Amino acid sequence: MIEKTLEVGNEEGLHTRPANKFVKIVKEGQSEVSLSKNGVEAPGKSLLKIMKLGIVQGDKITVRCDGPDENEVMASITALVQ
Amino acid sequence: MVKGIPSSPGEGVGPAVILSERSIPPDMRVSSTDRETELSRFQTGLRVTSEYYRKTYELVKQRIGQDEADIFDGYLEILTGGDIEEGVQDALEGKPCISAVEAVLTFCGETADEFAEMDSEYFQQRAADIRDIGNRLAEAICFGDILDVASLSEPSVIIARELSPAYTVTLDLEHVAGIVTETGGPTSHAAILARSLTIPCVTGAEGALVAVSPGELCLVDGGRGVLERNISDERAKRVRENNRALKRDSELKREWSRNTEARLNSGEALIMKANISSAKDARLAVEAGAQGSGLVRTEFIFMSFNTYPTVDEQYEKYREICAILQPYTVTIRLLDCGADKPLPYSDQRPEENPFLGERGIRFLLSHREILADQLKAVGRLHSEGFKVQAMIPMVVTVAEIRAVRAILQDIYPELPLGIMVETPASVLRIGELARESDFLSIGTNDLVQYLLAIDRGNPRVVNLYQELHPAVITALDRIVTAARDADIPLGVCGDMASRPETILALLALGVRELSSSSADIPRLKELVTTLDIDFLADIRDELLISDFHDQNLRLLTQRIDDLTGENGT
Repeated sequence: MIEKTLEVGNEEGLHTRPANKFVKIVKEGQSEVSLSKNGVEAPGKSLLKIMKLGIVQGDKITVRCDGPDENEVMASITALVQ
Repeated sequence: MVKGIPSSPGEGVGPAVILSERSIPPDMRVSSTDRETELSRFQTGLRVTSEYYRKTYELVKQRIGQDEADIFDGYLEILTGGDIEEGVQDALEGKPCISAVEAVLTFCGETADEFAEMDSEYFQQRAADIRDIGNRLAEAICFGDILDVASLSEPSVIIARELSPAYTVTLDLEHVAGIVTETGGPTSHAAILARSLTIPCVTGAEGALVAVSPGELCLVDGGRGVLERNISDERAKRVRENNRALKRDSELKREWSRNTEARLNSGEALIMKANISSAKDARLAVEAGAQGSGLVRTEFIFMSFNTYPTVDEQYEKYREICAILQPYTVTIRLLDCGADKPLPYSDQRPEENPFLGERGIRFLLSHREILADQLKAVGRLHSEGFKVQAMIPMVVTVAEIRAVRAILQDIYPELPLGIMVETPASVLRIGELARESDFLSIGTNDLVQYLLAIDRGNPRVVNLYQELHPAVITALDRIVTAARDADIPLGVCGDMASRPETILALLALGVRELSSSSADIPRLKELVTTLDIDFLADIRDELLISDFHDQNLRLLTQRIDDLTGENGT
């Protein structure tokens, strides 16, 4: 299991489109992914729950990946978010 | 007949297509059989709705672009991602079992409420999306299908409570004969779209949804602002034939206008520009033979964003417009929000007297970062060689011009800066203002309203809104003289530049640059090319000694009748 705290650099934060990309990355991989902001957690596969976190540019989010391709998935997520 | 607000002129006929969430029968909301039946209803509805969003995604991708389509892919993910299913399953656990429709509407309603309470403005606005998804899903469960506006089999009259941007992107616009909305006004999304596509449109038509049955033959008269129902086939046929003739005729006139110089019959050159709000308008302007734009209403460009557009975003929008209108000059009016055009995301509070409140340059000077961003976007274009200039709205003192110049001094001192002359104060001090401006442009709508202290939206006094009132004539004469003394260009961009009688008055008083809507240009050019300078000089003399609006109007109407009589048309 790996965990990483990322600062959201994406100008749009995790709006509908970037958040949907996030979910696609998670669904294409084999690892379990979750993310949290201010202690509230959402499963990486749920677009609605991710959007409910209301992530905007500058927020710090913690991403957890657990599975055979956790490093690759984390790298893709980092590239999307930062 | 249903009355509303005229929002885009022209007549259109076709069967009515009612664009409302089809109302869910009350028994569908309460009645229930058992959990298993309701769950299977939900699953069927989910399949129909997913298919609907998949189709919409493909359609938007084709018609508009990948970025816009991706939004619908997001909706599809929300729909099929499992959260709604989970929420509905939970809701169906209770006893007695509620209906699937009720479960969907409750879950999506509660989720939407959560979004509406979030801090970020962007996420607040997603509440409408979630509600929309819930409504579509409920519709599919109830009726087995979703009313699809993307494919209309024949030209139809669209009737809706309001037309959201999401609906409009999927509308099969080729087959829209007219648009009627129950809410909104001439500045609503639907109205702007309708005008740019020359689709007849009536807004604020309360009661339209109840009055009309789906499929009924309807007529939209966007010029009078009425919706007529139960139209006879013969009448519909006449309107359609008339529209075809008008279309052919206006295509010919546009072609003539593109190939004809704007000159008086006696040889003096004129400049005829278009008032525009978008790149699409700019293309129409070119087609109509406009020589650039005397007024880019940037508030409409701002309204197409969810929050204040960045310098880059504005730059892209203005650049597109300037590129289309090259080699002519484009006058960008600095953001004139407030009064009748509030920006949905601005911090402006309702004012008791919005027309006398924080609008135009007043708003910009209390929001300097917004002003600076806009000047940067326009200035950058100018520095790249585009013929573009900035215009300050609602000026009452030279201090306002100096304040804008001070900002430009550090970034783009070369950008031409002019003012909109639309307040009595600016007329009284026009000499001083002209000395500090690179050009002047008269906004006649506000100028007349402020000079005569008349609210032209008020039916009790609208007859006193007189564009040919001697006070208006005197004001125009002064402005023309001041521009000539200062040796700077002067244009007119209000409604007075759009009608034959008032154009005659403007030209007689010495105005040589007119900016009107593109649709009016060919017709107006036909008129001006018949005029002689001596003929105008006579009119000027008469206007300047007249004491009455009615007398002026009679004079001008008479002269136009004489002209058209002479030409035998």
